[in-house]
Amino acid sequence: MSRTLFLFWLLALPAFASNAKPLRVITTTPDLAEIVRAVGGANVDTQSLLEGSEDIHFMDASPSFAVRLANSDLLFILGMDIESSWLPKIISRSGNARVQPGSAGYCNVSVKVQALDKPIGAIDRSMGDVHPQGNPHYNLDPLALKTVSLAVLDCLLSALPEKAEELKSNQIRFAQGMTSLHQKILTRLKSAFIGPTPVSFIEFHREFIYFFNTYGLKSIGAIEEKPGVPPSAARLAERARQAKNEHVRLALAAIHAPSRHLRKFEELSSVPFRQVPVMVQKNGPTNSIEKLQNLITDTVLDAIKNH
Amino acid sequence: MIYLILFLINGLTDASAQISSPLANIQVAGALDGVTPISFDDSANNKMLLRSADLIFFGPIDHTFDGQLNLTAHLEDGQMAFELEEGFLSSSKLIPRSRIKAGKFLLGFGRLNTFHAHDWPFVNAPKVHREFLSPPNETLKAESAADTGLEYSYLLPLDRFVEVTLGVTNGYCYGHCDSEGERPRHPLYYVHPSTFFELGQGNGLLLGASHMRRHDASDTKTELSGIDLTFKSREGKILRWLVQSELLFEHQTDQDNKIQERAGGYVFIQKGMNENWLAGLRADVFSHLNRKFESTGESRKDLSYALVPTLTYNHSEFTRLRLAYSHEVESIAGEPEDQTERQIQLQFVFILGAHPSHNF
Repeated sequence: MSRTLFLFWLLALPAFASNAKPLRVITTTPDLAEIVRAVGGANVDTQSLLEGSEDIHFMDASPSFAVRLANSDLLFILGMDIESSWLPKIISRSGNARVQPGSAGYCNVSVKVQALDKPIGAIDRSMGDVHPQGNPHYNLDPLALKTVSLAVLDCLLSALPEKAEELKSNQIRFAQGMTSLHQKILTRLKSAFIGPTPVSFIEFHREFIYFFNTYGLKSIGAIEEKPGVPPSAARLAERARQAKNEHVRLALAAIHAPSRHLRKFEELSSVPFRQVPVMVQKNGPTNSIEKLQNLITDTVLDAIKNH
Repeated sequence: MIYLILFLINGLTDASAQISSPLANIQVAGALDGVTPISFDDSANNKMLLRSADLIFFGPIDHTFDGQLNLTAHLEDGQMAFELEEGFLSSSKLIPRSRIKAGKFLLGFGRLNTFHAHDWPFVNAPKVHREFLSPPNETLKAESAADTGLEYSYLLPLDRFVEVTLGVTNGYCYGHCDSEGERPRHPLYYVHPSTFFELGQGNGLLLGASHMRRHDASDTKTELSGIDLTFKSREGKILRWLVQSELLFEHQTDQDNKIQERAGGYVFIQKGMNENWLAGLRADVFSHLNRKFESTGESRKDLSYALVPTLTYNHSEFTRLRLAYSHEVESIAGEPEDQTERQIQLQFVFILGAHPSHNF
C-alpha cells in the first residue's frame, strides 16, 4: 500500500510542479509584453518577439521566432493585420496548436480597441497599404492600452481561472496607471498650447494618429503619398506648402522612416523633423510605455518651444 | 480546370457579399511573371512573353487543416495552359512542433526550390537548378520541382532553430512534366535539415543540407546532395544585404551501371540601396566530374560558368521590375571553341490580392 501511495505521489509530482510554473507568453511587441506582465504578474513569463526599433510592417518571418513560439502557451498580437505579412508563417512553422488562430492561446488584443482611420467602402491596393480594420498604431494611446489590458485580462482568465482575483486587481492597477499617465501628459501638453498661434503637426506615416487624437493635438496627416507608399517629389512639395500654410511646427516620424524624404520635406517647408521610436524598446531609454510617452511629448514640446 | 477557377471565383464573389459563407475565409492571390529575353547570340526567341500566371487560393479548411490551390498557366507551344502546380492540405496542429503537407507541392529541397519562380531574387534559374531540379533545361522556363506525396517538418526541441523536413513523393515524373510519367522503381524521397543563426537585430543566417534519392522507371538511380545558405540583413523596410548560395552534387547510376557525376552551384549577393532599388550579382558554376572521351576513355574536362548582374526595382511590395544580363559560357575539352550565350532579361512581376508573406 505504501509503495502504491509513493508511486502515486511520484507520478502526481510533475503535475503539481507544472501548475506552479508561470505561463509562457509570447507577444509580438514590447508594449504588449509590458501589459501582459502588468496584468499577469508572477503567473506569466513573457517575451516579446520584436525589440521595438523594427518596422513592424516589414519584418521577415525569422525562424528563431518560430522556436520561441513553439514553446509558448499564449500568443498576444496587436492585430488589425499589422503583423499579417510575417506572423502567420511563424505560427505555422512553430507547429504549436495552442497558439494557432482560433485556439484559446491566440489573443488578438485589438478586438476592443476603437479603431481610427477605418476605411469605408471597397478597399483595393490602389489605396496603398490600407488596413481594413483601421489604423493599427493604437499602442501610442494610453487610453487604448487600458482597453487592451481588458482583452489581455480575458485571455489570461481563460488560461488561469483560479487566479481571477489577482489578475483582475492587476488589470485595474494597470488601467489606473494608464489613466494617470494620460492625465500627466495631457497637462504637460495643454500648458504648452496656450498661445495665440494655432499649433499643428504632420506625420511621415500615420503612426502618431492615436497619440495626437488622445491629447487633442492637430495633425494635418501624412507626408506619404498613400499608406506605405513613399512620397513623390510633387507630393513632398504639396505637403510642404500645406505645412507652411497650416503653421505646422513639427514633422514626426518613426526611427525607421526613410530620412532622405524627411530631409527634403524639411528643406522645402522649413518645418523640422524628428524621428522617435513608435514602440516600447526592449533596451534603451524608452523601455516602458511611460518613457515612450514622455519621449514623444518632450519631442513635441521641444518643437513648440524652439520653432 | 477552367470550371474549377470559375467556381472558386464565383464562391469568392458570393463570399464578399455574404460574410457567413464558408468561402469567406479563402484568400486569393495572383502573380504575373513576364520576361523579355534579348539574346546577342541567337535572336530567334527575342520577344516579350508571359512566363507564368499564378492563381493561388488558400485558407483554413476546418479547425485542423489548411488548404492551398495554386493554378499556374505556363507557355506551352505558344499557348498559355493552366495546370495544377500545387494543391495540398496542410496542418501545423496535428503533432506538436510539426507541419504536415499532403498533395502536390514544391519539394522542400534546398533553398530555391521552395519558392515559385516569381518569388526568386533573380530572373532565371542558375544552371545547377535547371539541370538537377527543373529538367528539361530551358533557361527562362525553369521552375521549382513539384510532385505529389507527403512532407513532414519537425522543429527539434532545442533553444536554437533546427528543423528537419522529410518528403516522400510518388516520383512518376520529375521536373516540369506534361505527362503522367512512368511508375518508378521506388518513390522519390528527400530530407532537408536546416538551422538558423540570429546575428543581431535584423540579421540572420539560415543554413541547410539536402539529400534526395530517385530510382526511376528506366532503372536509373539518382542521388542528389547539397548545402544551402541564406543571409539577410534588414534595416527597417530595406533589405540591406542578401547572400544566397547553393552547392549540389549528383551521383547517377544507369541501368548499365554507368556512373555519371555532376556538381554545381551559385552565389548571389544583393545590396539594397534603398527601399526601391536593389543591385545583385550571381555567379554560377557547373561541371561533369567524370566525363570521358568516348573514343579513348580519357578524362574530358568541362566547365560551365555564368555571371548575372541584376538590378531590381520594387515599385511597391506588389510590383517588381528587374533587369539582368546573363553571360553564360560552356567550355568542354576537345571542342574547338567555348559556347557563349549572352542575354539581357527584363522581368516584371505583379502580385494581386492577398499580401505576400515575408519569408526569411
